[in-house]
Amino acid sequence: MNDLAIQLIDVTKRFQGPGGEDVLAVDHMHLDIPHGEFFSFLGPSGCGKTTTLRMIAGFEMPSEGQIVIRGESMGHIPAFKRPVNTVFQSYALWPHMTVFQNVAFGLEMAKVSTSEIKIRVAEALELVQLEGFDGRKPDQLSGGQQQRVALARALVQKPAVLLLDEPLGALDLKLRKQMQLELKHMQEQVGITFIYVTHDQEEALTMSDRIAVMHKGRIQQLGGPEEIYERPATRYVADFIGETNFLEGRVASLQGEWTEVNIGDAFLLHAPTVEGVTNGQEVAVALRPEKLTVQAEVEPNLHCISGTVEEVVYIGTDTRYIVNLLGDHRVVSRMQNLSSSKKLTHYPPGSEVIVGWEPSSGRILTE
Amino acid sequence: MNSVTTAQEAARLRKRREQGNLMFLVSPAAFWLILFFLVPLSIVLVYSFLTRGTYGGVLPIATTQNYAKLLDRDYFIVFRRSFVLALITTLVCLAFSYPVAYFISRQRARWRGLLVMLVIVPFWTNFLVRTYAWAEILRDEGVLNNVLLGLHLIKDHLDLLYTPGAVVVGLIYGYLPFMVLPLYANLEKFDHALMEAAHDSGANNFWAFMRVMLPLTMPGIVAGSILVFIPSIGAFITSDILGGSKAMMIGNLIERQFKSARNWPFASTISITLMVLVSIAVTIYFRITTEADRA
Repeated sequence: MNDLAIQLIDVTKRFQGPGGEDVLAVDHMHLDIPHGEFFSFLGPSGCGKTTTLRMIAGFEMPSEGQIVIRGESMGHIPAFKRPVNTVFQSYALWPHMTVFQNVAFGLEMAKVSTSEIKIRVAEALELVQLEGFDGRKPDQLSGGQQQRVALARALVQKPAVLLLDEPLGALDLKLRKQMQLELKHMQEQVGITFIYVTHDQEEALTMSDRIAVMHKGRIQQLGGPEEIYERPATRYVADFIGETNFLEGRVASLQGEWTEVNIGDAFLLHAPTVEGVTNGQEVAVALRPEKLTVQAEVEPNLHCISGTVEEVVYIGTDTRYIVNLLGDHRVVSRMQNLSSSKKLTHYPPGSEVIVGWEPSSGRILTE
Repeated sequence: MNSVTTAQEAARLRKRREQGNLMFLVSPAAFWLILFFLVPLSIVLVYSFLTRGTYGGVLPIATTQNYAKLLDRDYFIVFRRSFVLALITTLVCLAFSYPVAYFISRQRARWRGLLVMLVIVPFWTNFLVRTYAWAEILRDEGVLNNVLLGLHLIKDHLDLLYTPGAVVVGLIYGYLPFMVLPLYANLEKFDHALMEAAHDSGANNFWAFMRVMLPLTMPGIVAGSILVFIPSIGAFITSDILGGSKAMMIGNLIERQFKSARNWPFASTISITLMVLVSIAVTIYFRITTEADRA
């Protein structure tokens, strides 16, 4: 109980929609987040992830249920009394204050002595690598620098939990990737629980210890990055995280560890048995494109299905093949371009090929 | 190389032509202001140093007598009263308008336009008519006294009309929209995430307002205050109708000197003095408020 940073107990949030109808933004959510975890809420816009974050921050109050921070129920405790700090999506830096004043504000409000404020602001600015920027105003900083000020402003107050609302959304790709790693390092360095909201699956996978994939106000799956990616629980998760091929079929037989699935009466394949799967059930087998190889000949240890190459797309690191398998199942395969020799497209469109994969790569999805 | 200089030359010429076009566009306004503002003001300034004629008009005899006369205690009282009444009007307008402007700025976009229009609806009726309506409300046998007497809240009628209070009420009523509009324009652009950030950093409503919203809406406060203070200190219709001789303001003084007393040079002196004092006051105010913003 006490090693939990955050507990959400049956938290529900209803909003009044534009037509006066109730909109369920967060639907009876239960969640425990231990201290020191880098936790992400991942989902498309409108899935309830930002609302959840705002309820933890105290900007919104739950319609039902309760939020517990460090063992203390928040009830209707206002935002300014909660031991959490937020890094806002738009940064929300105060434009009339300098970098120093922005970072010092929270400490001033906490009545920290002037001498200590100076030390702690300097430390925070060092942490985000903005030494010497104290006197600048926010509009004299680049987007990336503003981002760092927002981080320093939140971290300087040594919150129990740091809430981050898509903080990297406004940065360009290269800076975003760099900041992802920096954030992760920073979190390890300061040991504060980070709760991160994003719609970018790669961002969530890169940084998080655990990820909650959200859809329509509910957590669809909760797990580590590898679990979420390799063993998605639902079609929604498999589809939202990365690219996936779905082969629709019916369970033909259960053979202990393995389940045999009949794909549209065209072919049979084996995939690891998942919990709750029953004989004759309609299921989908999810296969990641990078798990599929396009090859000329059948290989003994792989599932091998023959097909026709429809399209070849060269994308630098990889080449994407779109192959039409037996019985009209279109799948995407990503083959890494391991050699820079000229034979970029081994298999031009129209060629007859074998698509192979390890049976253990298939993921049976029942819902 | 050659083509570069040609391009620069072309850009320079284009810029000059644009400037020329702009000059052409502002010239009607410039002409208007020079003819009907700068020239008359210069005449007023010159008159303030001349001697009054026996039957009105001016004699071309230079003097500083008019300014010396202004040091008289009676005039000082009128100046002080005008200043105090204008200040009270400005402060009350600010206190009333800020919540109104805030409220409007927080409404959905489609309601905001309507609410702003409601603020300026009073302008659709003539100012004189509205001021006489106030006299009708405030007079001894007026609406307010009759209602209060009817409800037995008072025994005898209150002296409301022809008091400084009546003038302030009239001025607030008249100039309130001039405070609401610039404040609204400022608050509408205000990013409320900045307030959330302040709350997030441990500031309660009071401190979040003082440290974030107030400094960031200072331009609106300054604009609104100037728009209310200047017409208030120079008001004469409101003080004439609602203040009478007991709450005379500078505007009434100037009017009397020009008309009944036929002392144009002295009226000019009062006008110029008022203008200088207001300029000084506004400059000081501007300095203080913008410095507070910078600190």
